[in-house]
Amino acid sequence: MTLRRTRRISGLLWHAATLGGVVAWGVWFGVLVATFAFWLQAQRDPFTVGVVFALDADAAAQTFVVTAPETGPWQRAERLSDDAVRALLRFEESEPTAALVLPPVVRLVPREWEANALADAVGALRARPDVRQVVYDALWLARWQAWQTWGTRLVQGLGALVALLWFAALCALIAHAARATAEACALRFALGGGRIATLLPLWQRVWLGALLAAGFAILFVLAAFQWLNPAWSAWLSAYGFDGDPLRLLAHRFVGAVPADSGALVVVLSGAAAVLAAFPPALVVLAYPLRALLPRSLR
Amino acid sequence: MIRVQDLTYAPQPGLAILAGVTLTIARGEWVWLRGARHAGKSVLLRIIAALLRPTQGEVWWDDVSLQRLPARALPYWRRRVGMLFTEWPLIADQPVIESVALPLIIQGTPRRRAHARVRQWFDELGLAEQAELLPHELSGSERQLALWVRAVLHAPILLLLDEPTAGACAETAMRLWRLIAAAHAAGATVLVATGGDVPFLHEHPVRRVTLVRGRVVEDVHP
Repeated sequence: MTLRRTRRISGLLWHAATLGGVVAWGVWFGVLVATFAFWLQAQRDPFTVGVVFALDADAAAQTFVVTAPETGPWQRAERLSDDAVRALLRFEESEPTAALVLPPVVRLVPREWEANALADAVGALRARPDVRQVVYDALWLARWQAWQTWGTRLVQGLGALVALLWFAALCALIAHAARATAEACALRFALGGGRIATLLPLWQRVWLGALLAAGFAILFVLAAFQWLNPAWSAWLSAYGFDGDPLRLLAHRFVGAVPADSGALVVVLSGAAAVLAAFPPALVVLAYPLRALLPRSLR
Repeated sequence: MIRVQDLTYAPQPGLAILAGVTLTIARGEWVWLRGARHAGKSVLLRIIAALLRPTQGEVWWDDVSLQRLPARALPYWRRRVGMLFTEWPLIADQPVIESVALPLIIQGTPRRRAHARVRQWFDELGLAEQAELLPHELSGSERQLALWVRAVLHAPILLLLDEPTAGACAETAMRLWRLIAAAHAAGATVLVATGGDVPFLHEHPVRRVTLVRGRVVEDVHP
């Protein structure tokens, strides 16, 4: 292989890695923002844990189980109207689908409940002959409790710091590239470059395109999250999911999410974030490392 | 023919870098612009290259006023000019050959052919081994030679050279002056600006124009 070809290949690899890094960073950032938005939403939601009951259609079709902290763990309620069900399910602003209301699907446990008490209550409910199915999801509670522990706070704080550092490093990288591009553009302009094709070399146009694509990807993720979230929450709630895209992702990867899958989801989410952050990390590190390459390969 | 007519350049009110410069330069003429720092030599060259707009006055190429050309036409004028300016060095993070081949690539010459042309020039000047290096890996003399190649690579009709030997050793400086003389002999119109005296130019049929604080104070034809 000739020296020139070696350089060309290494140059192509270099740009491919850079490009991959930018795109991966865009995705990672999108996931980060989506997760943050989800967390914010969770803070607003007065119900931490969703418990879904599908009662026996013959015996108790008109019966819903609701909870209230002041009346004890479980309370057999009177027949509820559809409007009341909608209100209970917090779907006041949207039309619930039939699948959500029939068979009767109700929840809910206030945030103050502890996981053990909830598990006991769910166990007791499962033992009842008139209850056909109990779908129990403790993710919200597990996550909330995890937030309460100092260890998790520390880890999450460090994670946020690392993310911030990545962001700063990437900004510096982009600023460096922008400066180099501006210098090259100025020179090309002086030498008679006019149109974008003569002002920007191909690989810088690709770069610019990648940055724009990453920006659009972030916007898309945000928009999709906002747009899909009510529908997702509603649809997934019926199946024991709460609309968290990361949970859905975990569900896709590992199949059915176990009842108390909070830890698994947290681990999966963390692993996904680390994996997504890895390529940009390589790019950021590769710039200074590039100076160490033999001159002939640069 | 280049006609510089009553050219004034004042970036701020009260700060006139050029003050009413009028010059007529014939095709194939070699003009040496002399003057101390801030005399306005470099600014005059940049206005002729249409990189700066004068505050007042016009530059004519034959019967075309550069100031009246639409903006989209100016790049085509610049492509006919060869420039060697200190603030347009080689691109720092690209091999020298990439920067030097730019005038041809901008004109649409395929990259491979443009590089071949650069290599031809580099071979003649003894820079063949420097083509793939980064600018900071070249000596000052080699950089000036590379910039010279970039200025003349696309066979411009007008050469605008601002301190063309800056940073070069005495031997390379002499070599560069000979190259400029050869380009002039081949028919190019040459405007060269220097701050100091250049003995080489005294021995050649060069028109000397001296600028002081933006005004022409001496214009000596050979």
